[in-house]
Amino acid sequence: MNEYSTQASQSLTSNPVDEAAICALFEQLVNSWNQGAGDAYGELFEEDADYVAFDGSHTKGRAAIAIQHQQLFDTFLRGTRLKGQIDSMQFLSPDVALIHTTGGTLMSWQSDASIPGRKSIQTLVARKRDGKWYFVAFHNTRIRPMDIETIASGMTNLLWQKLRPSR
Amino acid sequence: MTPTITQMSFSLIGVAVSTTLLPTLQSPAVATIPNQCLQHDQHHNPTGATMTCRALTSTQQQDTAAIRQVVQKMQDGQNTQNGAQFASAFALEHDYIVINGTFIPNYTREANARTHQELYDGDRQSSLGGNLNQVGILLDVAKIRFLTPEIAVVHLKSQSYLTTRPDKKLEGIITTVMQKREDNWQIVAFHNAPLLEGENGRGWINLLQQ
Repeated sequence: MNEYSTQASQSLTSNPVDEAAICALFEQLVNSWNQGAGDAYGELFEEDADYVAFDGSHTKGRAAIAIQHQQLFDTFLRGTRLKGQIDSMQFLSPDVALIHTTGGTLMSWQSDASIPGRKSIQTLVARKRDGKWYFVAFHNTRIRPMDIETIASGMTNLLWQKLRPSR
Repeated sequence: MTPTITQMSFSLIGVAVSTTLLPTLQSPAVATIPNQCLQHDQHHNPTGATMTCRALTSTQQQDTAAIRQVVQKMQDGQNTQNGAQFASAFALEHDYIVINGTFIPNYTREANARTHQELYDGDRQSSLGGNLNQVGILLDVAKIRFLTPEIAVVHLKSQSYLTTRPDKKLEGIITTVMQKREDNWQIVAFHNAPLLEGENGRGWINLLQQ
């Protein structure tokens, strides 16, 4: 089963029921992925949700999120399993929560005990409507375990190479 | 001041942050949100709805303008190398995800300001090509979505470029969550990421795999 935990700290206006509901929502996200169920995945998002994938592409709306993920589950993500955990949860209001999660995918040939090779971090926003929590925003980014200064100087260097005035 | 190891690491994080967030004064952030009522206020009788709608639209326009100002503060702070001004866009405590995925939870506004100021005042000659003064960024408010009258998800598009060649840019996308606290809109969560599609993405990928 999915391994996830919650360390809900710094909660401004939270209660155990809502925290549990959001944990369950995230568990459903993982389960839907692992079952390759695009519709079930999309159902966890609000009608007008914003979804930014690892490549920076911005998908708008539940229907588009569901279709896109079904296509991915049938192709590139076929047989992959998601491992994720909730790292922080903060209630901005009784009905809006800010959540950070980390996780990665396992390929079909890897066991559940394997550690995902590429880890990612997500910012999620959830909102409660009519007593039910949905995700309204999702942003996923690969974590690149490298010296941060390398990126900074590399970025400047790349810009310099690309943008240097022609001789 | 002799920086501690912790401060050093923050400072290094700031290098990456600022490299992708240097602003430009001549390009103010532009919101594209249409003027419309909040969804949950559309259920009243026609007369009441109209009045409610007008009032909300006016308030929402003010909030939209205020949110754009928050983005502008970030840009101006970077552009004038003013760490305090940059950090003034953020809540007293906020979550910050750097472009390489580094997560800084509960980042204080003061630490954010100090980090950026150290960066602005630091040795800019250490990079192999050009320096931070030559990198600018254009922040564009791509979408504002109000979850409540006081909480919004705001997506920004960033474009980094050398000021000597503003025609060529590397693009990024930023998700922010903003909240109106004590009558001021503030960034409570900031998630910066490269746009990896197409030609732009190849530039980023080459860079990030170095």
